Amino acid sequence: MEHFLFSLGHFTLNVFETAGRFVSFLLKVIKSSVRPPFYPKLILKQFFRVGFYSLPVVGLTALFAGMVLALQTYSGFSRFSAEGAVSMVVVISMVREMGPVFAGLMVAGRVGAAMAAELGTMRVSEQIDALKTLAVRPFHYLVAPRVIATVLMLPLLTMVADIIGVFGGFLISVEQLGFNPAIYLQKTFQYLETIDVVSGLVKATVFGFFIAGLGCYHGYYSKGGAEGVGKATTLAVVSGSVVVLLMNYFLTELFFGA
Amino acid sequence: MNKTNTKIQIKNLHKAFNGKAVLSGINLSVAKGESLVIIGPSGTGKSVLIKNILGLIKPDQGKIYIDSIETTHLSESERQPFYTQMGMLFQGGALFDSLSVWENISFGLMESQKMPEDVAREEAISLLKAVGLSSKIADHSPADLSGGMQKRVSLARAVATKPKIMFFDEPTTGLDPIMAETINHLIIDNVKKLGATAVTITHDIHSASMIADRIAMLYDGKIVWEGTKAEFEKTKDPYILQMKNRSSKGPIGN
Repeated sequence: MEHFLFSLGHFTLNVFETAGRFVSFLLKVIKSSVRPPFYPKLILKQFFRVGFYSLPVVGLTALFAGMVLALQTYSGFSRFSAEGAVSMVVVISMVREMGPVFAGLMVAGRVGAAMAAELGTMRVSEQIDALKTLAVRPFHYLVAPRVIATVLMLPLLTMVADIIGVFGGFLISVEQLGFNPAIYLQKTFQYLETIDVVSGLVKATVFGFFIAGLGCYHGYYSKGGAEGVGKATTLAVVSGSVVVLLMNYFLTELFFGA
Repeated sequence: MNKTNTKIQIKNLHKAFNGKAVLSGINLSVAKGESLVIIGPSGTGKSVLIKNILGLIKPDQGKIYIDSIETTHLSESERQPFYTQMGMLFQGGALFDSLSVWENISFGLMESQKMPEDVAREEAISLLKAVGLSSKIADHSPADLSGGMQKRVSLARAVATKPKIMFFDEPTTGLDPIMAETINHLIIDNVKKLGATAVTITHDIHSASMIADRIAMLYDGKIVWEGTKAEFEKTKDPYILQMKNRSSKGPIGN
């Protein structure tokens, strides 16, 4: 019994310690993102790495998500002769949910992992300490550019995913399901509201902050050589993906909850 | 020792990791322009000690003064002016692998002293030559260099900003004897040229007696012997004798 209580206490302390450290890390990230020194060149470099190089994988997943959405909606809705709603379901699902979530998950896997591995390697090979001794602050130089770039790039990637996803749905609907292209497109935009798109972009911004934050956090505090870096990378991807899905629910509740 | 002449002073420094004491009550001071070498067997907390002085690790207890200013509880931004006058050679080199050799060397010049790129590049190339390397490797990646070359590039980076205090963490470890000798000479030359205060940690006795003005021996979290180079050569202290004779018998147990 005593042993059990001891482990429970130890576990609880650990959870709060980690949570506290993560929150104070995020506060430090925000502080170093809005205060000089700034490194515009490094932000630009991260723009490319986070945004541009994620385009293929985000585009591909969005295309197939839109295609499968059209197929499934058609096959389901045709049971009660509501095939006419396919275009609306596709566009609303895409911009509200699938666009930001798929872009978020892909970026968590691609970018979150890379950030954890890079910063982790820099930590274990004393490069972060070396930065400090050269009078450059690692939060400003390493963390802030990555977080700023992801926060700005994920909404843009989401917008691309939205468009490609809707196009994927359109392609299947017109080519395979026999919809009239003009009517399909007209219906797509007829019922779409600004809030649908905006809520998706706000989600993407929040996801971007947490994905980059978690990637950098796990890398920055990694220890124990190659094994530690591997662990940091795994944790960055897992926690990033879980946070995307959890946050997605709460943000949906915030925007559209009764 | 005259107080205004003291560059670094450490008072009763304690540090433990996960309940295991690494440093237990270190008292040490380094005079301006002096070269102090801290020797001791591996795993006695030599690196931890200089990382405390640099502010990379926060001590559990005790105080550190640099130029008579207490630095122990400074925040990161308050510490910046101290870092601009320090240089550190890390044991593994710690070169930035995302940057080329010359960008590594001129990193402090460009990022913290805002030197223009073309001037910084020329400066980097002259520093490369000063550590006996060819300017041909300026655009290489640090990963393409051998261990000895990496250490020399790292030394060039550490002295580039002309620091007033230099730290060397195991400068000769893992190098062949000839390269080790080259590094020793480079350290002596650079420290003299800059008139800097230097703190070196090593377990290489030969290197220590070459570089040092004064030597301190760290064992089991404490300074067990301290003296000038002349005293070091004559002393009958059992710790020093055991290190010198590479003996497995003596007060230093395994």
